[in-house]
This record gives sequence, structure tokens and C-alpha cells, in this order.
Amino acid sequence: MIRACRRRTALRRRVARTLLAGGLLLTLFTAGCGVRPSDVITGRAAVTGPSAGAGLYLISHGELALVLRATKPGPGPSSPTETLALLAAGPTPSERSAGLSSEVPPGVAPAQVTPSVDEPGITVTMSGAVLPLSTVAANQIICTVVFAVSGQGSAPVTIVGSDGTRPPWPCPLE
Amino acid sequence: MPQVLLIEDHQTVRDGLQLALTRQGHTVVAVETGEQGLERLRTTASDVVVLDLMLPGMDGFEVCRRIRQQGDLPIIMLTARNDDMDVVAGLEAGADDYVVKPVQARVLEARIRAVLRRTGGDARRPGPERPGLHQHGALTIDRAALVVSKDGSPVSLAPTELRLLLELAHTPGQVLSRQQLLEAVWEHGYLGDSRLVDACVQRLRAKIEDEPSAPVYIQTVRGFGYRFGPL
Amino acid sequence: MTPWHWARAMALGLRVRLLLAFALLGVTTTAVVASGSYFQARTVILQQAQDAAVASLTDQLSKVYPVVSLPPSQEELEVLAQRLSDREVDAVVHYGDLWSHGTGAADVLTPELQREVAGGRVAWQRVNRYGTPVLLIGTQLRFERSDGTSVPSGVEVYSVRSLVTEQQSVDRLAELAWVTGGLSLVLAVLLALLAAQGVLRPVRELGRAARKLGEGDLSTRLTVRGVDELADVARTFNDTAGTLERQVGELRRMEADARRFVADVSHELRTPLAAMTAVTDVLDEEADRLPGDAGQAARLVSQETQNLTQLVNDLIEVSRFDSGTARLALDEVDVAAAVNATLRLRRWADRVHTDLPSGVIARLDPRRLDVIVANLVGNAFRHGTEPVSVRLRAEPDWITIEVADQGPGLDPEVLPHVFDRFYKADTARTRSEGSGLGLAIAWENARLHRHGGQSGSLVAGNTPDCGAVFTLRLPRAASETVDAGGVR
Repeated sequence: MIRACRRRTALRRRVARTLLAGGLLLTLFTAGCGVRPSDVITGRAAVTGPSAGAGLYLISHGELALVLRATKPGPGPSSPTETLALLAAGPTPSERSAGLSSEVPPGVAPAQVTPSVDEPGITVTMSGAVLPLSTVAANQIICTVVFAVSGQGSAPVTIVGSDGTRPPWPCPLE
Repeated sequence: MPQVLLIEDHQTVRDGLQLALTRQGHTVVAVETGEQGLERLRTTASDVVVLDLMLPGMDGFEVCRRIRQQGDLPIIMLTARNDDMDVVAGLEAGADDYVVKPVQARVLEARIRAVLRRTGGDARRPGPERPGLHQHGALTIDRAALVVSKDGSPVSLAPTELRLLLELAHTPGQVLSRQQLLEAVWEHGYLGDSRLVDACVQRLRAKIEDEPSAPVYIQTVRGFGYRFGPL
Repeated sequence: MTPWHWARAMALGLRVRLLLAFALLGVTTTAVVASGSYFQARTVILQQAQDAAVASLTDQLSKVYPVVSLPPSQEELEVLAQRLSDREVDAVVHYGDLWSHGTGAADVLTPELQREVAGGRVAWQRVNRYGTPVLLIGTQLRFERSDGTSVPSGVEVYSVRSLVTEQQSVDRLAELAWVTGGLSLVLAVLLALLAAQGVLRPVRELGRAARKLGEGDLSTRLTVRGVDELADVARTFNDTAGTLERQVGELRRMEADARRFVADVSHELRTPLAAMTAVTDVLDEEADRLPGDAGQAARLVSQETQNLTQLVNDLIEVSRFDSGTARLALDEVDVAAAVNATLRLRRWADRVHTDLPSGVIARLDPRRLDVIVANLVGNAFRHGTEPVSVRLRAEPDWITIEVADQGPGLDPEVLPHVFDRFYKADTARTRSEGSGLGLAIAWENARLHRHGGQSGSLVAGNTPDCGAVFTLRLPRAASETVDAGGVR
């Protein structure tokens, strides 16, 4: 009697083991089949390329937005002074209809862009008052200058105006 | 008193039987070997032979055959075994009856008396005596003289054979079972050895039938027994 | 065996176990290998496809530069999207709130992808669009500066590429894996069956030989093939069977010798007994006239000589049964008449109640019937109380004779041994009459009568009113004995 019982449990155990193994294999197969969705995979840095024309920063939805203006004589980098003059002129009608605006008053042009003397960076000498400029307007000027001047990505920019000198500030965009 | 010739090789058995039979009133001549027995038969007249089958020298069967050749002397076999071979061979050799050793003297005595009744003297005859000859086909049976002739010439029959024939011929056409024949002829009682009947019938047929294998006078009725005729 | 037992035996059998083991091994190995290579290949395929797609996109985008105007108009976005789209790719370009609509694929872009893209890196992700897998790639368009840094232009480009071909390649891989698995399973099964056969055949042979040995064929032997454990078992079996055959043969020889000895002794006893028996009558007659104790002595010798003769005759009967030389002397008898003759011969006729219908003819050995009936009736008188009854019943092929008494009957412990040789139920009782072989001989005599495949029988039992009853059953047409030996 006992022997029969033992044999039956042995059989049951063996069957259970086989079923478990088979089940695992099966789930493995069905779960991993085909092309599965994935998480986001990051690769290299975003596509970059040269820009042509003058680049200046306007405001879109309260954020700095880069705008490119085709330059007359032909593509090629324009001088920072020209770019600042464009900036002071404000957005074009089409730009305005696209929702762009500017806080840079027109009075700041013409400006001069020179490298800073005492510390590394750029100095922008503007006509007119600079101290009352809003942060946003200052950022516009700073980032535009930085964009226009090659090789000065993160340099602080000092804005000098008729009424004084603003502390040097880098462009908040990286 | 009946003369008994006893042929038995074991001395004590011989002495014992001789003693007992003598007390019963028989005159017993006891010999040791078959040759001596045959010799004695020539010189002394005997009424019955009691013959042991296992004898030194000439065996009992041969002695039985020789005695049968010479006459109708009744022979009772003494056999130590009632196996097939011995009994059947002895009956075929011509013995009238057999007893198995050890045998009580009174049993042997009864057999001797029975066999003597078949021969004559105070022979029992079946049924009321019908004097004269009875013709059955080629056979002529004289019941008074106890002589059977076939085609005129007498046939030599052993006492038991004669008795059997008379028994069957007394009621022609009627079937008699072996048990009935044993009781009537051998006086064995109902449960005697039916081989005695068969052997005797066989010897009888050999003597009176034209074709022993296709018997006319003594017919076998399967499942019942034997019957005389119908012719 | 019940179906359940048979099914269980099959399920637990060697073949099934081997099958399961091989199949499991084959399937597991194939599964592991196949799934491993499948996943590997899938990864490679997808990676290559993704890399190619990304490279293609970035390559195309590089042709966009140099960018001359910003912000782009809706139309410019649509044109760019159109340029980047082809048969397999839908491109989506957006700047701020502006989205290109041409391809209508913008709804599939996931927030996490857009988040990554906004971080300034090329990002891609696989998602499911309406059941088919698609690859989403996204990148900003940035402007490079001479110092190596870059600024975002605000334009983001996404491409939605269908991965259906890759899916098909991967599915083909899966199919291959399944096919390989199936083939390996089949192969494993075949191998298992082969192995099982190799083992099972000798085992089955062994089983068959063991069964034949058990049935009595002691000459069974196995052919020893090979040198493995199975061959060892076969050799051991052969040795054991050989020993068994030898020993059983030995025992049988000894038994036969013993029987022959008994037979020979009994025969030898006959001669002196013959002499003694011849004169028992004389002793009986003279006993009264003998002086003193001589008469008693004479009667004693006479009586015991008769008893001894009976015993020796019985022994010889028994030895004939044992050696198989007992023969039936068959004759047609009226059973009732035979039984009556038996009773009459022993002068029991008026002490026995008989119920014997006449006309019942049977072909049997009348002497043996007489022996049986006389023994049964004699026993009834000796051990039971009168009246003793004998009853005959006839069936088409058999006759039944019942001998019953009113006496104390047979003890249940005695009943199975009552036909044993020399068995005395009451050991305290002296052996006053009978040799102790009467019932054994009666039993053998009954069994000697055979018809068809059955033999006659003698059984003992008790009647409802506490008497003993012996039932004799004989065939009505017993066949001639060819070899009647029945060793009990």
C-alpha cells in the first residue's frame, strides 16, 4: 500500500516538474516574440550644421527664440554690429504674425562689440541707456552677440551703455 | 475327495496351502516346479490344478498351456499381482480362474469347489434339464453328456468354457451381462473381474467359431454383454 | 489488469521515462540555443535597422544646411517633412507650435521621446502603431558654432519608419527555431525509442523466461548477448534455473526412489504373508481347542495376519496410483445393482437405507466402485451413528453417490486432511480396523475415472443435521486409462 502511494507522488512530482519547465519555455517564447516596443534610446548629439545669415534672438512665448535673417550681399556671417542693428530694429511683420516680439528698444543701436579687456568675455558698447533694459532684453542682446561672435560660446558679456555698465552675464542658452 | 495338484515354488506358501487344503478334506499333491507338476500329472490323476505363475524354470503360463493341450483339467492361477499383463496372459493361456496371493485358504477352497462344479459330478446345469441334443447352427450341444460337437466332431472345451457356452445357449438371443455371467459361471459375486468373462469368450470363440473375428454364436452386444446368436 | 493499472504501467514504463528524458533534453537544448540565437539575431537586426535609419535621417538632414531663414513657415515645414518622407518613412517636423501635417504621423510620438530630443540628442524608440512596429527617430536641428558648441534652432525633426520587414525577418527566425525544435524533438523521440527497445527487449525476454520457469518449465534458458548488466542478469538467471532444475530433478528422483522402495517392500512382504494367510483359517478353527493362552495367541496371530495382508494390499494399490500404473477394468454396470451387491456381500443390506434408482447404467470399474462404497459405508458404521444412508443420483454425464450418517460429523480441522494417507482423526483411538489408507485409496479410485478433461471426485462434508456425508461423483462413461498416474 505504502509503495503504491510513494510511486503515485513520485509520478506527480515528475509531471509537475515537466509542466513547469514547459511553461517557462512557452512564456519565454511568447513574451519575446516579434519586434517589441522599447524605451527611448539616445545616441549621438543632435544634427548640427552651419547657419547662414544673421542670427538674432527674439522672444516667442516668453522664451528666447533664434531668428535668421538673410543678409543682402549673400550668405556669410554678418558682423555683430550689423546683427545688433537688426535686433534693435525689431521683428519683421511676418515674424510678428508668427508670434515673435522683442524687448530691445531701437535706441541701443548702433553698438560696438569688442572683446573685454579686464576679463575674458565680450563687451558690447551700446548707444543709449542699458541699465533699464529688462533681463529678457539683456539676454536677447547677450545671446545675439554670442551667436554672432564665433568662438565665444559661454563667455560673459558686459553691456556698456550711456548710463553705465551692466554686470557681465553669459547667455542662458547653453 | 478332490485331488489337488499344487504347483508353488515358495516352500512356506506351499506348506501353508497344503496344510489348509488338507484340513478341508482335499488330497493335496504339492510340487515345486512346473516340470515336476507335469510329470506328476502323468502319474497321478488330479481333479484340479492350482498353479503359481511365477515359477523357476518353465514359467506358469507355459505349464498352463501344456496342461490345456493335454486335456480339460480345471486350472486355477495363483498370482501375486492382479495387474493387467499377468492375469490376462494367464487367462489366455487357458486358466479357468485366478486368485491373488495372499489368499485365505477358504477363498481358494471356494474357487476350487466352484470350478469343480463346472466339470461334472455334481455339475450345476442351467435351468431345467432338457434331455437330448440341441442343434444350434453347426453346433450340437448334448446337455446330458456335456459334450459339444461342431459339424459332427466333438470340440474339446475347458470346464469353464463349456459352462459359459451352456449358460449362453440356454437362453439364445438373450443378452447376459458380464456381471451376470461372473455370478452364474464363476460364482464370483457381482463385482468380480470381468476380464475373466472376456478371456473365456475369446478362447471359446477360437474353438467354435468359423471366423473368430466375426462371431456368430457368441456375439458381443456393446454396452450390455454377450448373447448366443441369433444365427 | 484493469485499464487504469495498464495505463499507469504504460505511463511509468521504461520507454515513457526514456522518451520524456530524451525529449526534455532535446527540447531544452534546442529551446535554449534557438531562443538565445533568436534574441541575439533580433537585437542585431533591429540595431542595424535602427542605426541605418538614424544615419539616413541625419544624412538627409545635413543636406538641409545651411539654414537661411528662421523661423520656418508652415509651408517650409511641410516641404521639409515631404522631402524627408518616402515609402517607408513618414517625417514630422515641428517648430514651436507648428507641426507638419502632411503625413499625419505626429500622434504616434511619445512624450518621453520628445523629452529626450529636446535635450539636444538624437533619440529613437520603437512603438506599436496600429499593431505594426514602427521606429521613431527624433532630433533637433542645431547650429554649430566655431568653438564647437551648438545652439538649437528650435526645429525638431521626427521620422516614423515602419519595421514590418524587420518583423518579418524576426518572425522567420522564430519559425526556424520552432522547426528546429520540432525536428530535434522527433529525433529525440526516435533515439529514445531506440534506446528503450535495446533495453526493453532483453527485459521482456527475461520476464517471459521467468514466467515460463514459474509455470514449471525448468529447462528455460536465456541467450546471453553482450557483456553489459543485462547480460549479467541473463547469465545469473541461467545459473539459477540450472540449479533449480538440478535440485528439482534430484527431489523427483528421490521421491520416485522412495515410492519404488515402498512398492518393492510391499511385494516382498506378499510371499511370507501368503504362507501365513493360507493358514489363518486353521488357527481360527483350532483356537478354541488350544490350551491356555495359546488359543488367544492363535486368534491374535490370525487377526493380525489378516490386517497385515490388508495393509500390504493397500500399500500396493497406493504405489500403483503413485507410479501411474493403475488401470481401469471398465464394464457397463447398473449402478444400483452394483451398490446393492456391495452391501449384500458384506451383509450390510438391512442396516443401510438405500435410495438407488435402477436403470442407471454407467461404464466404470466395478471392483473399484465396490472398494469405494465399501470403504465409505464401513467408515460410516465405524465413526458415525446409524442409520446410514446411500443415495444415488444420475445426471446426463455423471453419477453421484452420497453416503451419509447421523453421527457426530467431521471436525472442521479434520475436514481438509480426511483423505490424507494414514491420517487418523482421533489420534487417541487405537488402530482397531482399517489400514489408514482406505479413504486415500477411495479418493484415488474416484479420480482414476476420467471423462473429457474432468475426473471423478470424492468430497467430504457435513450434513445440516450434524452427520458426515461423503459425495462420490463418477463419469458415466469413463475413458480407458492411457496414463492414469496422478501423483497426489
